[in-house]
Amino acid sequence: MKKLSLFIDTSQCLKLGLIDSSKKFISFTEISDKKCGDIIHTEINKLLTDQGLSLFDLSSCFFLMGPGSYTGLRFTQGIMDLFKMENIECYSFYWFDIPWLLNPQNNDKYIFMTNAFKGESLILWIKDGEIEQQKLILNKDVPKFSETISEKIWKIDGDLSNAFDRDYAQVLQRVEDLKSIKPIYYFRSDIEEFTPAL
Amino acid sequence: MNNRTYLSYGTVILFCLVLIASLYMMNWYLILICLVYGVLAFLFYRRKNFISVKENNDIVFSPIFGKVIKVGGGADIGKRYADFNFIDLRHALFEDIGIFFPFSSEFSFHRKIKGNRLFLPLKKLPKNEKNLHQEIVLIKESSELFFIKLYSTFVSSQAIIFPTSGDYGYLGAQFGVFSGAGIVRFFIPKKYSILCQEGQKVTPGNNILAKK
Repeated sequence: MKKLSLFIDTSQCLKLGLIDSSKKFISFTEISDKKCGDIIHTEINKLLTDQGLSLFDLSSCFFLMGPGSYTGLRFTQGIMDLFKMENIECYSFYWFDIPWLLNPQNNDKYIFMTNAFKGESLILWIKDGEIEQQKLILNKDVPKFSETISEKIWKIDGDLSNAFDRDYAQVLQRVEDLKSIKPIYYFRSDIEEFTPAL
Repeated sequence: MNNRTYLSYGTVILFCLVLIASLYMMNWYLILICLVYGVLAFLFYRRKNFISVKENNDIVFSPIFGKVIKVGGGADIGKRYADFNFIDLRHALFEDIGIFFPFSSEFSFHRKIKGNRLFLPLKKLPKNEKNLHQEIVLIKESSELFFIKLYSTFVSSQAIIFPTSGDYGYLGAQFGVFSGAGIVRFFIPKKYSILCQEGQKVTPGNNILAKK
């Protein structure tokens, strides 16, 4: 019996991948023009049935827990809870873990930056895989901020996506080795999320 | 190896196993099937050699038979492609339908992006990345990342891609089929200078698209 895993990322748009035992994608689907909640179940089912599989053939599932869309990540949490009930091994990691997962020996501090919606950007200072400092700044202040720092900046819609595309097998293998389970990363507290932007 | 169509290791190993098994059992029907398969594999696996230039690690060839319709900077498409230039190629309607490795590289994986199909006729692609297409991620030996996006139109079928993630392909090896004036958007890192012009006709293994 093959050891197959599922990859789910709803932080930007819906991304689903089926992974073999060597952590290589057998198939990968990305949908950005429809609401995640409308299609997530049918797309997971389609991905599996296209390969002649069912949910019970999965041995594990990898989740990207953000940072990203609040609603999208809620769906990820729901699916993760469902898989846990079916005794499917669940692993999770963050976008900003990727540089550290790829190069754990490197102790250099780096910066992760992403759009936090509501006209703001999230900035995290990461060292040894841990968040040292975090900050939300207005999008208009981002160019000024970028000029003042010397550390490498990783962005989801830039180097980080490309690094994941290049070395995703290494990332997923390390997440599995570490048995990494992370909670959802929210940009703000729930109260702030329910407050509309000014 | 340069003039071969892609055949997965699995297919080749299966063929060898069936041949050995049939010889062992002396099953003439199986031997006949293997012979027919072998002849067909020879005819189609050995392609007409169209590679006219020696492979060089610094050169990027065209992945399809077609025409350059646009050359531009990746930042126009999205922040993710800021470090890339792109070349839009329209597949030639009556030419070979294959997609070929533009250099020897690892086939990292390919993803299907679901969305609306493009309408023809088109002079250039829309900026929107949400149209139905397939994206192929290739990794050169120097860990450089290349993206090939395949946009099918109303008159073209969806591309069929043969390799699986982690396979390695040599320059000019066919790794898929894509017919009917589909559009290929090829992202090349900015350290390569683009050597083709809009309107130029290109053939795989013959026309250099970019050079380091």
